[in-house]
Amino acid sequence: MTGVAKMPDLSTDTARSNQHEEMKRAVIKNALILAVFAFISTGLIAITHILTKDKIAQEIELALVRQLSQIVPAENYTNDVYKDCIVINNIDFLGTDEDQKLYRMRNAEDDYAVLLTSVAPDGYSGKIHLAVAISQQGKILGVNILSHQETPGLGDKIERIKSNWLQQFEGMSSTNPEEKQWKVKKDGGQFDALTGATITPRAVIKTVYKSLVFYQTKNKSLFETNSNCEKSND
Amino acid sequence: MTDKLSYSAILKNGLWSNNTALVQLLGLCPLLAVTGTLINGLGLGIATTFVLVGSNVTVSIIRNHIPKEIRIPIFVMLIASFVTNIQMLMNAFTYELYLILGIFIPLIVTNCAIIGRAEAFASRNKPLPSFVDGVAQGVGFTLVLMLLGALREFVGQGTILDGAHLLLGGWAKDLTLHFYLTEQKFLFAILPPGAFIGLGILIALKNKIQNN
Repeated sequence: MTGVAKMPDLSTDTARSNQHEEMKRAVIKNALILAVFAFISTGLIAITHILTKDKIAQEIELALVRQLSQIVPAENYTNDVYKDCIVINNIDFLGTDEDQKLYRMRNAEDDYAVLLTSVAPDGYSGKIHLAVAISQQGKILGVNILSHQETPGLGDKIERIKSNWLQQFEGMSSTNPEEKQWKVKKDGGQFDALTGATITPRAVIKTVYKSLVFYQTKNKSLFETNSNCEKSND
Repeated sequence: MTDKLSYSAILKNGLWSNNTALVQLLGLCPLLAVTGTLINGLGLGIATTFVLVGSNVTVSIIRNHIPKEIRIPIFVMLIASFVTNIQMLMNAFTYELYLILGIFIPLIVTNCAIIGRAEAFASRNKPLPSFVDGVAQGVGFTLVLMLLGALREFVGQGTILDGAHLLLGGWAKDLTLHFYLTEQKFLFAILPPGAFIGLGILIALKNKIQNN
């Protein structure tokens, strides 16, 4: 210890400051490397997102087309549904401020039904995208789940291929049952929940009801507006 | 673990002696959540194996270029980015498959087995052994998922291979075996507590076999 104490102060200081410098350099170097990796990984995600965004939207729309026949038999209408489409946007009833679509099904002179897309923003893990088919009189013909991220084995039972939970909506309207009955049984309503999942059904039931109310308030005007989906895509 | 590990040793490690789920006890979050049925287990297993192999190879390739002190955050970023990209690509180009496996993919991010292998193996070995390790660990994990899924499915709802057509296509619809019909499902087995107990039983069995 005495030997050290006798050493000139200057050299200790220099050694210390050298060590300091070295550490500083290492920290900066690591920080830079981290930043580069963060940049690369975020960049990759951004690029993939941009490259796949349109394709994904297109796939979802194609799926909508394929799935319509599951809930509305094709012989009930004669028009080309996927060209007879209007853009709707209503954050209060459709659950999102993004444009949703409404397809119209018609017979020769008769309006038959609509298929509209809406979003349940409050699923257990994120948004649940729905397609609701509503007859001209305001009754549900069927509901389909377009996309969701609910827990496999629990919340994913909302999918048509995994259980018949969705079928309980068929024939319902915004007045049958009345508003306070549009809840899961646990909350005093009349709808079944799913085993081990309550939040998911709650979100779906609420959005189906709101979609119905949206249809009721607009009713005729939805059939009368000129098709405008093509334009919005440009 | 060293570079000298033979491929057969790597395989044996992944499938049995150092099995992800039964020995390392990693990846329990998705494991407990998903193994309600055999098919769900298989779905998660496939998705996990895919990511595991990809992340192992990537980590192994860059292992000599990253400073030791910050390797973990870098692995985390790489894996998260890898998983997200796979999810988007599947969504865009294999939509049907995505509808089935898609819900499992976000669960993989919560799987510590991926970073566990990156740290314990891929960061110390060449790409090829890391690839083999990814496959071995992934398949080992998948087998346990399927076994646990089958167990819970059998006890909980009296079937095996329920929902096989979702993953394997329409022809598999008849694969489902009904052992007994239940009015009320045995919820305990289907919900996560059943998974804990089921996994406990599997671990005990493995240890028993190993000790004999």
